[in-house]
Amino acid sequence: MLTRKLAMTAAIFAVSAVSAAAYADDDRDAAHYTSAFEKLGTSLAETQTADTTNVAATDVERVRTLVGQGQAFVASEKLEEAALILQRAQVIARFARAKVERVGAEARAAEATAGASAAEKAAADVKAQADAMQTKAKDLEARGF
Amino acid sequence: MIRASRIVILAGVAAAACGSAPRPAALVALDGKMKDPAHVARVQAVSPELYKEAEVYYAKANTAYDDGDTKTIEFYTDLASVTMATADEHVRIADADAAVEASKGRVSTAGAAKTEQDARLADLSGRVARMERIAQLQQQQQLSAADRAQLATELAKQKAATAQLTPLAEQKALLDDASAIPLAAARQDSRGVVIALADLFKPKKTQILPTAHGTLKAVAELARKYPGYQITVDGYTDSRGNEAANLTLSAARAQSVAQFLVDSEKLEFTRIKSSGHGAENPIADNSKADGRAKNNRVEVVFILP
Repeated sequence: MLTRKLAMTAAIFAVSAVSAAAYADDDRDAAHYTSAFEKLGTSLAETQTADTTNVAATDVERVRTLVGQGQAFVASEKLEEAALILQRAQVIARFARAKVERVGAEARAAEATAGASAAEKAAADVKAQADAMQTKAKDLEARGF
Repeated sequence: MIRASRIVILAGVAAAACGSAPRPAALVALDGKMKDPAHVARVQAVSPELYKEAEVYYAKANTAYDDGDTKTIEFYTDLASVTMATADEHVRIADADAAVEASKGRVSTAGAAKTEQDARLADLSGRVARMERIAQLQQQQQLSAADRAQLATELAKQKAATAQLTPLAEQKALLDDASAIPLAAARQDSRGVVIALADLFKPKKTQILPTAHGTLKAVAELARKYPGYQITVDGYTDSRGNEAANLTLSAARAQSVAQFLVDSEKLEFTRIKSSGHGAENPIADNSKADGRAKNNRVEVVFILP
């Protein structure tokens, strides 16, 4: 029983120590985090609008949940927790944006590839016509014309 | 001071306890990504900042693992994984951009090739068209020559056949042909071959009935077949009525037939003469209706040459 209590205490201390080590020098106040979460929310809305294929829907939803949690931490003055939430939300939001951009880029690539294939087919078609015409010309030439 | 020492000791004990714990699955998966040389090289080339950031998170996750700090392990493992996934997205974006550029190159190359083939096709089409035109002209010339040869052959045959015919034989042939004309009565007399045509007009009228056109066309055909004969068209009436009126009516009817042969059948007008004879030279009994019908006639005479 004593061992379990000690271990639990040690674990809590360890998390707090890591968090404190990472963010102890962060003197940002609640207003900073409030603003950061608002900006993230705006950015997230833009990503969601651009996401016509819903490729990032899960990530957007995850970030939205994190933003809610983070804002709750800010409201309760738990800024260290808010900082961790913000960092994680920002990383996931960036991932969501990249996904949406990637879908757009791949769509453009597919379109360009199709266009290239069409252009190559058009060239091949003309070449086939020219080859057929050359055969005809040779035939006529062979007949003495 | 005593409390601080106690906490440090407890933390050390906890870290030692967790340090030997199994490596979390998410961290193991991250190990695979961070230690795959090809993958790392690709990510580093496209998105070095993101890779550097992921490396920092990864290092922190490993440190937390060494410290036995589960929550921090999970936190930084997640950050590192998501950051690497973001870098992977950037790699795919770069690949897509490269595909777009490659496609532009393909379009350019294909456009140049098409332009070249268009020019080649136009050149060949022109050459083929010229050669086909020459072939067509030659064929036409050959056909014309063939036609000419055939015509010459037929002409020679006709000349030979005509030369072989004696005037008498030709006259007989003409009579035979004239006898074959429907609704006509052919005979031979001192003038030549006579084709008597009745029922060409309504009573007292001079306009040829449409039903008689076929007979007159057959007469014209005969004239063309025997071009050496002059033609006289003689009109006659029955004996009823005024002699002068009959003369006028018969002349007008003969003129109508001659006019038809010239205008509609394009026979030379110099070959054809017409005259009216009234009730002269009846060929049937004027006291009977059928006799009068026969006497109301026009005779086309092929004059012996």
